[in-house]
Amino acid sequence: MMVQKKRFSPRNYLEENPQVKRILRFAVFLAIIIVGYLAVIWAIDIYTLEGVIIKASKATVNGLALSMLLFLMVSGFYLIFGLCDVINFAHGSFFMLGGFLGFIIYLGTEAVFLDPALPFHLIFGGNQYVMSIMAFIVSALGAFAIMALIGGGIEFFTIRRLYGNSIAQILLTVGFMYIIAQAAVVIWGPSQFSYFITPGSTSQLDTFFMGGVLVFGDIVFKTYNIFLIFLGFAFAGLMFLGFKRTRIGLQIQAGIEDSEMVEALGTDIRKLFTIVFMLGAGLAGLSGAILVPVIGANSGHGLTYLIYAFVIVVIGGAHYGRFEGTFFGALVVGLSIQFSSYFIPFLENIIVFIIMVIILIVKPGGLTGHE
Amino acid sequence: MSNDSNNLREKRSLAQETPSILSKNRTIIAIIAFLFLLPLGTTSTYGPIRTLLRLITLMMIFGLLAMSFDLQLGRASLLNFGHVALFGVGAYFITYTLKTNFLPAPFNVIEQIPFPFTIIIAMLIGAVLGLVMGLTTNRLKGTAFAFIALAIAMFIYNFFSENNVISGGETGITVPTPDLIRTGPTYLFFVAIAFVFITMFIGMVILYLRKRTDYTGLILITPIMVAIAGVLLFFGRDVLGPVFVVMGFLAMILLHRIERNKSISDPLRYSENLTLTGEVKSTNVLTTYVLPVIILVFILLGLVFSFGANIADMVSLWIEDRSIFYFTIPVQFYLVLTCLVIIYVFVRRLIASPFGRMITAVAQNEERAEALGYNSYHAKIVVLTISGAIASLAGALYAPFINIITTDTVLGVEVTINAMLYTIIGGIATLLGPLLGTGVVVYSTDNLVNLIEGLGLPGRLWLIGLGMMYIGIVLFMPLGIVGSLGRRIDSLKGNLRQMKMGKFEFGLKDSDYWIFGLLGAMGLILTLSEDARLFPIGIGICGFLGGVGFILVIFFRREIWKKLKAFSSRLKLRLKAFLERIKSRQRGGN
Repeated sequence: MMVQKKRFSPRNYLEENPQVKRILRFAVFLAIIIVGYLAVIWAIDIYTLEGVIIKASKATVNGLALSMLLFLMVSGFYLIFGLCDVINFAHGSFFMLGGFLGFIIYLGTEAVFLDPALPFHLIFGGNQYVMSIMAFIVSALGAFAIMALIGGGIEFFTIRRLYGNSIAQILLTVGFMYIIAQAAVVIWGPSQFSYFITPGSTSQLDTFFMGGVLVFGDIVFKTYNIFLIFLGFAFAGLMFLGFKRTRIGLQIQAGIEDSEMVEALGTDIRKLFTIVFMLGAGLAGLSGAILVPVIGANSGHGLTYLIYAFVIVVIGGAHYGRFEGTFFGALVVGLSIQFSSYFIPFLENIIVFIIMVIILIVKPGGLTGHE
Repeated sequence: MSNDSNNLREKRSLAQETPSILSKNRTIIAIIAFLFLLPLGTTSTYGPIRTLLRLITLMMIFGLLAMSFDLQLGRASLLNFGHVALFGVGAYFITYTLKTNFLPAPFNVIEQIPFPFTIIIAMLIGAVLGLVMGLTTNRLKGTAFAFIALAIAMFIYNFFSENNVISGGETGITVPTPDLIRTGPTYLFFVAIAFVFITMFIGMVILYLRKRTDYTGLILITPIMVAIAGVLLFFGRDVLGPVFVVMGFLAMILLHRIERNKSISDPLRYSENLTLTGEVKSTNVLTTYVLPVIILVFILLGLVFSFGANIADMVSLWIEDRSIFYFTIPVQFYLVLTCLVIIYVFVRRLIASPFGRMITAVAQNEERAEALGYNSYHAKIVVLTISGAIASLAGALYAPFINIITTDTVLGVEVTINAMLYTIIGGIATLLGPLLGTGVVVYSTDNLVNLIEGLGLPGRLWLIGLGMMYIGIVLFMPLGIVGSLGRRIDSLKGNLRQMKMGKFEFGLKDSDYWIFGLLGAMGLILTLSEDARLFPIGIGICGFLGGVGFILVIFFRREIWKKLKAFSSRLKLRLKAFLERIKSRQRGGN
């Protein structure tokens, strides 16, 4: 008869001795402060105080913009992964396709606006700035609608048969990833070509409503980055409200925590899955369209951003996690990438993974999840 | 003294068990013997068989990778997104040992290690990395483990891609072929192994014939011998070879007649002589020793006559000019095949062992396994270590095979995704699934372009075709090719046990299916080689299999008809319900 030996587990030990835990927590807190202080002093020593301020402010703004960019994209992935338990490998491709759709819809809308045969010039009165804003909104909403339809179709016809078989779902979504990626390459060319909305060349309007730069002394920011920060925060607030206030949002949030219970309480969970899949794919398309002015529409974006999506969702808390986790995960990832690219460039590619490893070892369920 | 007698007993028991080992693994032995037979056809001049061998070698290398992935995903249910790291360290280690004066001073000691040992050391390194990954499974489960492994893989990827000195930058490193692979004696050594396997195969066929004393056995064995004779006729150089094989076949028929007469004339005593595995404990010297030896000698002579000239050519080529690369392809094929056979047998034994059962128990329900007293942590660590060694072996075989490696081809995320696809398409938690899945995907990545261009579409669409194929496979075979077909075949096997056509009664037993396995493998491999001379054999094999299928359809026509009817009526019902729903909705809208 094998008797299992009791293994030494640090977590159990800490739970049995709360005083040790308190001391340890204090020590870790102190250590973080000291390390941070030393890092700041070290940075000032190398780059001088002024240089540090410039670099830090640039890193903060760009990092926040990158965080919001990632957050917009990952929120859809989080919904699908959290509720339906589908690791959606095609999400990066949805995002990439959304970028192209946004680009095309923007150009098409402004062509319609500028057409003298149509009555739009009476409404706008030749104000190209307003036209640009309207075309942008139309492109974002159009990309959302089309991607939501595509995502809903994929869920309804294929994934619906495979709930519970997570291995087969991987193969299915990888198949869709290949199809979408290759279709984009065939239509719009390989990843060497990026499509941007440039006034005067690709775009017929002579202005883009958020183009240009803002100058504060020595520091130069892209206007769109700052716009993106506000947009991202507004978006997060809106989604947060949606999850707290609306019925369907509450159902989704509850379903992520315990889908069986939600089903037992009388919600049609299958319908909810379809809605969430549409919402997730639509959010991917929307974010792709919104991000065209920053990163362009490019057929190679699929796999690049897919890995970030994985990492952020895992940091934020994948299973049983909360929506805020994704937001904070995106903040952590975006800021750490930008800060390390300004201060410790050789870590730029792997800093995300270092942080992920630390968080997963300290809290295996992610920031907001539990095991 | 007692020890000696023990040893003797063990040896004797091994000799007695050989027939049962042969009869238990018929399909595997047949396919392995056929694969070992193939490279004997390489001549000193260029031939299409070299292309075929290279393709199969690539499939087998990635098959090893997929097998190691399946050991984690299928057996221990550990999804590992960082699997490529295990593959990459093996590839890079073997590169550093083969390339002279490449690494900086203290590290270039490893160039001194001779080639076959470096593979073992590469496996050890992979095992250590697997152990490191396994140490994290104490706290991390499911997704968290997958991402820790991904992080480890990304660290290694970045380490290599940032240091151009050791990874060769964008262009990668060229890997020299190890000298040992290019020598004549190595080739002869593998040829000897090939003959051992072929002897085993013939012995297996003889044992099979002595057991199946009705006509079904003889009918089923005919296409095999005809196909072998055909292969010899096309690959070999001498017509005498196939003639000897046919004579061996005649001897087989004689053996079959004698056994049959005996079993009919004295059925009671005959059945008493049957052992548990079905062999006949015969005291007849003619059928036990004389005829089998004659068959063996005939077929081996046939092989020697057909391939002797080829082998002599290759060896004389090596004696003439030792810098020539003509050996590389068949010897590499043999090396990879031998590794694959060893790993396959090992994994099979591992899974059947108590430890393998324990892993499965842990994978299915970890809490229950722990409550039963098993240590799930140790089980996972051991699985990851073994799997790391196998993946690293695949990498170590891949680098000298492909001759140029970059960080993206041996450490990129795509390799992990590919390994995952191979495994899932073949069917997880099956032994042959990963190998078959690898074959399907590697072959279609090579040939989809031609197929699509043949349909009149632009060849750039091939990746779309691949995606469609994946979706089709998932929707119609959710458990993978082997997993889904295996279930259906099990139910079919029961039906096939007793069949009657008019007065003619026959049945397929479990011991007969190796013939279809071997014929299927032969047909697949021969169609892979785009050699026009081989098409008659391929067509013949397909014709035989098609004929068997046709007979089955005729035999089961009532069942098939019933099923079709049920399906169509179900479809009608569903359509009707759908239409009614639409109508009611319209009414409600109005």
